[in-house]
Amino acid sequence: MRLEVIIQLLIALAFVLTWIFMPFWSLVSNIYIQKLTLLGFSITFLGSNYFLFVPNALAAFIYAIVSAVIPLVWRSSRYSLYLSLFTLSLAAMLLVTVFIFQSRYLYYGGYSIVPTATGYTYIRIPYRTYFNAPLYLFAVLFAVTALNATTRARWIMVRKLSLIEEALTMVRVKDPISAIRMALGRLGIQYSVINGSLVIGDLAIIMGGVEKEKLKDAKEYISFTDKNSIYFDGSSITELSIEQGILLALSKALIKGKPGRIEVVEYA
Amino acid sequence: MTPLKLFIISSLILTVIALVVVYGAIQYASSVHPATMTVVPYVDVEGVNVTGEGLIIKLVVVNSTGNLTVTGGYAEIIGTGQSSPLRVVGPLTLEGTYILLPQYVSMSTIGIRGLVSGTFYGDPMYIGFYLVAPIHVVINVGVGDVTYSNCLLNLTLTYSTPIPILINGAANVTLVDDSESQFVFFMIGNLPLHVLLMPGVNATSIMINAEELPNVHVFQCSLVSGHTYTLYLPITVTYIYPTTNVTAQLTLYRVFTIGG
Repeated sequence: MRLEVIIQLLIALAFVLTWIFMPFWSLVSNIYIQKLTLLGFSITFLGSNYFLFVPNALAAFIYAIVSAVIPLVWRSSRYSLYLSLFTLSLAAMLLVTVFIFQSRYLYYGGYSIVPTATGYTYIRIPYRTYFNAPLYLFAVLFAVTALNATTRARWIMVRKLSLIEEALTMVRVKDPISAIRMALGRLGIQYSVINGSLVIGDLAIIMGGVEKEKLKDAKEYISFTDKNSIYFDGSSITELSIEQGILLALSKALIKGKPGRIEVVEYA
Repeated sequence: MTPLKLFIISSLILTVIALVVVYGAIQYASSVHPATMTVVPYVDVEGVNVTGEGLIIKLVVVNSTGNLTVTGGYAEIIGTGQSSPLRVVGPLTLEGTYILLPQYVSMSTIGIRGLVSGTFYGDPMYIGFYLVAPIHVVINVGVGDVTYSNCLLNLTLTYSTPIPILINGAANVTLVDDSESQFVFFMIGNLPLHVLLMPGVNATSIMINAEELPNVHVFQCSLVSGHTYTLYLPITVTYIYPTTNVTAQLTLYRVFTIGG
């Protein structure tokens, strides 16, 4: 799983958790308070509470979760990232409809005309509205999701080492045979180990000097020493450096051995 | 199924669900709910009195929540066209005074309509109200100054009344010297007076010659300085209401000290 998608998932998780514990938006005056929770509006007027369930808010919440989960369960295609962005756009639109609903049905202009036991009361008290952390997290989530969709989740430049780089790095601390065995294992190529030498078909990869009696079946061999390597193709000998020897060994192994499964590319 | 097809089908399904949710929210999420009347301040009537000074209504702001101060307002008496500003007489109490109209004493209830202004949590609020309240007719009659010399009793009746009152007579008038525990004079029987008190706040003088009273025992004809005296004056009065007259007994008395 790609780091970019994990980042998107973590921001979505932060958004979900903050919205559970704090309102998305609040309207506050001395006598009247409106809070947008994930289930709807929590309204307090002069100490009496009322909760208005608004399905749009809950749907926006669920869509944000679905948007983050889509790239987890569907990794084979880039359309998964497009679908994630589309779902989050729908969540944003649902949030907009919540505010349209608020201005249409729960509009509060800073005054109240309330019936009383003997008439009515007109109260004018100024109010403040403000957005809380969930909005800002939603904006960040939207930005990251859009970035993932446009870059196919490849915007973090730090990448892991390629197989060749890993093998060449390993040579510096271990012997070439171990590095080649690691690379062959990762590539899924079958090989046999005879007296510390690797044999792939009629290719032998050996350490140290060539002992003819050990390599009766081998037509070609690559021999590593401390300083360089030697390639023998049956008739002639070529002297190579250790790194060249490893590259040659791997490329020969790909032809002579049978590579296993091909590594899946995520969000292709 | 190709990824593109999966994408398009999923997008369509998600869009349809979102549309249904939005439609459902507008259709079924009702923002109408019962008003919470008990927590809102309102105006109630504390008393409506018809007195000689006029019609006095006393209003109180009932406030169970919040930080409320009352600054003023006005109230109108339904059906009379009278309107008056309200005076703030207490933290949450207001009073309005209206010129006495003849019909007030014959009404059993009146309707009051008006507006009280104030501040609620430091910001303006107005409380409109319409109240129906019973009327109380308040009549005050008392004895003011009393002098007694040469067997001549001079007394001042102070009164406040919205209706005319006829004093028919006094009975068993008695003046007692409390310091010596003895009568100055006492009278047994009735003394016709026929004094008419007109509506309003006023005073009237009554002069009684003790020696000329019927069935009277006079012990002294003047008062001693420094002594305390009590005057009992039981009177028969007729309240002249517009529709009916009511006769009643009223016992007035006054304790007074001469000189010092």
